[in-house]
Amino acid sequence: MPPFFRGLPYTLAERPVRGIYVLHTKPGKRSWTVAMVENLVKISGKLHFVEGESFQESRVGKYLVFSVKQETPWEDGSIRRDFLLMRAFDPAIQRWVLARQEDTPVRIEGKLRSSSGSGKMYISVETIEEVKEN
Amino acid sequence: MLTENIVTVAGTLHHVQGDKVLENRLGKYVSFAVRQETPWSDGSTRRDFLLMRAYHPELREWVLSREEGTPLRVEGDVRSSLGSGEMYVHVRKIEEI
Repeated sequence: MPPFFRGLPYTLAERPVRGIYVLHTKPGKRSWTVAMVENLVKISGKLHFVEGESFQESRVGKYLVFSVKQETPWEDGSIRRDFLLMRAFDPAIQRWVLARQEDTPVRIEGKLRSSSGSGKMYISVETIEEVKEN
Repeated sequence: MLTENIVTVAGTLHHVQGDKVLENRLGKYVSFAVRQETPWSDGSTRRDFLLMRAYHPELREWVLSREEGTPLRVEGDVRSSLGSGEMYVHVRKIEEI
């Protein structure tokens, strides 16, 4: 067994969970817990600027709000339209988004989060790139 | 344009709305949340409650048969509600971890 897994519960050591392993130490005792932080979102669609105040601030920092419009052929033959809410905290990503026009095709990777205020979900943008349409 | 929409999250099961089966034009679904606790850069623990909808009957049964706090991994696609615009994950696959 790798040294990293010593002290873990038997089943956990046999089937390691993807996440951050947190070591708790007290005098004469140590234990592990696993923070299951697997969280990955990959989406593509068209840039859509939201109306109103685009810059907002939370305890995490100042962020730019925008959305990605996605049109998906659905199982019943219709076209489903989703407007997916984004928050960009990185100043470089904020500048990138603001330099683009409405409907620019984009691909985004990030993490799914819930607002600590409203509880509403959004995608915290980590990478963004323009997609060339064929 | 190729449409990409993939979500993978892990956390613990949190039942919402008393496990009621809801319905919209896409069919019946069970609404639940994945609670995720992330060690944050300032030393605190960030808690996210990520809203899920399970439409497939087998997935609905799976969710309703599990207890609060069950560790799980969910794969799906992120959607916005046709009614409220609120975002959720359309569950495609779920497993206990």
